Amino acid sequence: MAILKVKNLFKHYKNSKYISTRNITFQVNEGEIFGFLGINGAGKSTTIKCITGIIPFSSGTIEICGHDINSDAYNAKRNFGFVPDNHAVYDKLTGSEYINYMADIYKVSKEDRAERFLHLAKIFNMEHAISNQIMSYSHGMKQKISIIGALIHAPKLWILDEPMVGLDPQSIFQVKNYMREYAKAGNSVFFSSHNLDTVERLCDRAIIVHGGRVIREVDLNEYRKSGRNLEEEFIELTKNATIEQNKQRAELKVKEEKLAEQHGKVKASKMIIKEIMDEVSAEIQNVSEYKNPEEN
Amino acid sequence: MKTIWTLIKLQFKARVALKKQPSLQKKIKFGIIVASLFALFGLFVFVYWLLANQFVSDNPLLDLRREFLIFTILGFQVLQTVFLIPNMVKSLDINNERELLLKLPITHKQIFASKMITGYLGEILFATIIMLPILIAYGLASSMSWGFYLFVPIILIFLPAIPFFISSLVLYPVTKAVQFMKSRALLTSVSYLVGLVVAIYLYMQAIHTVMAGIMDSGNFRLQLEDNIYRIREVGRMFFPQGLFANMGSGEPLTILWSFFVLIGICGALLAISYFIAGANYKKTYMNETSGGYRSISRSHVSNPRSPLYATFKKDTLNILRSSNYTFQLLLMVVITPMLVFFVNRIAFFSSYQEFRNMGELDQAGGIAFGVSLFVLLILLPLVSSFAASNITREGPNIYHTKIIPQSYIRQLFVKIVIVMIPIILAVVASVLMLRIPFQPDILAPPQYLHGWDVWYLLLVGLFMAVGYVCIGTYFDLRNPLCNQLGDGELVKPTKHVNNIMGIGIVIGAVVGILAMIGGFADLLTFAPQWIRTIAIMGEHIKTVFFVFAGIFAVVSVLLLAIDGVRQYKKLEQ
Repeated sequence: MAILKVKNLFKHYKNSKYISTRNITFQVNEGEIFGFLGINGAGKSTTIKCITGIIPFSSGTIEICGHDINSDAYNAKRNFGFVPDNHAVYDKLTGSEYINYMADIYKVSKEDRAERFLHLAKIFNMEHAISNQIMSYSHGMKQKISIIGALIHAPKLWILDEPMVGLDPQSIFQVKNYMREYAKAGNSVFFSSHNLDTVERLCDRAIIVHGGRVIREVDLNEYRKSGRNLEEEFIELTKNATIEQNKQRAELKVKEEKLAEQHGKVKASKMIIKEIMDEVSAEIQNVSEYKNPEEN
Repeated sequence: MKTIWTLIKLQFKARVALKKQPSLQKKIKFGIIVASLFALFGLFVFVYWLLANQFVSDNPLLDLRREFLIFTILGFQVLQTVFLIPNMVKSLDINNERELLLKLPITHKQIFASKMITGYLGEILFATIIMLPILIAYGLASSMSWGFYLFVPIILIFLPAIPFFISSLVLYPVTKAVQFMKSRALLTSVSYLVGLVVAIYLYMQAIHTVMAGIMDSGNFRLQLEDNIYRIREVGRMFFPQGLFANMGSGEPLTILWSFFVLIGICGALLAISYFIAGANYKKTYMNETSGGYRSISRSHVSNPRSPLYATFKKDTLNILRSSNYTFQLLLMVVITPMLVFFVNRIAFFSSYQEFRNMGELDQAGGIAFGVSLFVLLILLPLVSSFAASNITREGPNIYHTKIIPQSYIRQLFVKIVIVMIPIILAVVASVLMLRIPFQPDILAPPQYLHGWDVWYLLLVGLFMAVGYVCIGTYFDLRNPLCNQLGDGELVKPTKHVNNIMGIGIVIGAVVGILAMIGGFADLLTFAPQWIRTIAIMGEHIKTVFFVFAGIFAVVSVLLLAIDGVRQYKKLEQ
């Protein structure tokens, strides 16, 4: 059963000359740990922000446990827990106030919250710090309280944006172990990472994105069996894609400079943005007209 | 002793050392600031010299030059004490340098001694900068002999002794209070507010007293002899300051006697200060601060509450745990009713006599209404503008508001309610202030204000507050400015806050002034045409503005309710 379904996702930021995500499609199944890979600026964080409802997207559909993030946002949001890459939590609250706030928001009963809170605090070694204000926490502690907050309502889908950044080895070990434990219990974990080694060892499947497009979907169980190396493939794939992307960007720059000579810088910039938007619209139109034979 | 001296040198270097070479622009800016301060201080010394001249008289019965010096020294010592207490707390509280200092082969007694000596030398420097020009101006105005100037350095060296002694007495409790309040933003804000309220009260009371004195000039005559006697009596009460003042007496025996007594007293006070502060130094400043960790238990799990309550609690705690935000929000709640009362009272007293003479006492009600509307409308945007950072204040946590299963309209509602609660309190308290008689035997504004006027002020105040809060939130939602520094708090107002304040103050000033003029339109029958035109506009502004305020409130609420959710969805982090 698909816990997360992303279909034909397009995202173009207003006034940007680049398209952040282009026709991204994938799904995360129940009990799966799913990796989301890509170099900086590939579109990972934008995709995650679209999935979690943080930013609106231009086109496509996102379903979480069968609930559309746009039309049924309430139920979609009830089914995931999110840990951002910036470790932002309400600094002025104490650890326990924050967790109780999250539990109240997700209407977690007293018994459930007590059991989960004590369990998670113990697992992440936060038992002695939860009475203190979050502003006194270290980077790693903030990340861990954010994780506890994201899991207090036991969501079916746990989304993490680059969760290992800035964590000490012990904390990385705790997070990885808990990801396995969580997926084993029938939930799904979806996380972005730059650490290919972690993804290779931990995930069941992963996708690699580049320039806003999915350039490869990989079954890591097969990789492990066949002894293929994810890192080497990733470098090769992204290298070729980067060369292509740089070429396109250089062409775009030349075009913009030519337009600037004729119409001035500001107007040229506007014309390029309009062209990109038209391109997005045409691509969206093509995608919507295309019928998957399997669906018919 | 050598170690203490080395530490003293280190501390002086740390205080004066520049971290990097400033740019030419910064040097010029610094130069302008210093020159301006010197000019201002020069002006102050000149005014002091003029004032000192007033107390000099050849008639010994009227001569108050000694008392003038006593009060000058007393004033400076009070000022020095006020600055010295926080300086000493900051200097002795070595949390920041503890690790560095404790690594060195020195004892806490040596650190303490070096800090005390550095502190005292710094205070002598401060006394010299401030008091040397003042003492010279005093000497010139009072025609002092050269002997006085000879003793000026001695006065400057011993001047800080009494402030030092007082500071060391209160140092320990003040430090404890500061440490207690550091983690309690609400308490800090309330303390600031109480201080501010007392200051405003005293200031307004002083203005009122002066005005009452001017109005009642018959009883405002200086009873010279009686006053001189009283001043001398008060002067005698300040014995140590009197010893300083004796240096200018010109009588060798008095000077010698005062000099030795002064050295004895100041020496004793400094020794006592050293032992009192030293006794508490180690346990107060040198101990490790306890982290206060408490292990998790079921007591940390609270009973389930509704999401609405949880959001309300979270947003409230985020404000109350910031002394900056609490102060902003509570400031106007306290200040608005106070200013409505005091400004009304001053306006009332200044116009009361005129209206009474004209036999048009009931016109005073119009003034009271206009003044109240003016104050209310000027202050409302100041407090309501807090809502114009409702979204920006979320800072990096804005993602949180978007991922939780809680409707945007509900989250906006909570933010608006939190800002509206103190505003409603401010408006209601301001209107209630108008029911308090200014002075039981003479004036009671309820006699002059119509019942409808009171309801008008209440309704218009609430309409405008709702309007400002909703429109401020809406603007912030359309374009939040994550203008955050340091610990993530807003340290300066965003452009939306400034816009709301600016536009609101202009509206308040125009409408308030028109309403004030309109209040006594009947008395302007013989005034020039243009004044009568303004007065007629003032008479009608009441109705026009009531309609405007109502429409403004409704439109703002609708705009936020209808377009707010769309704007919230559009927010891109």
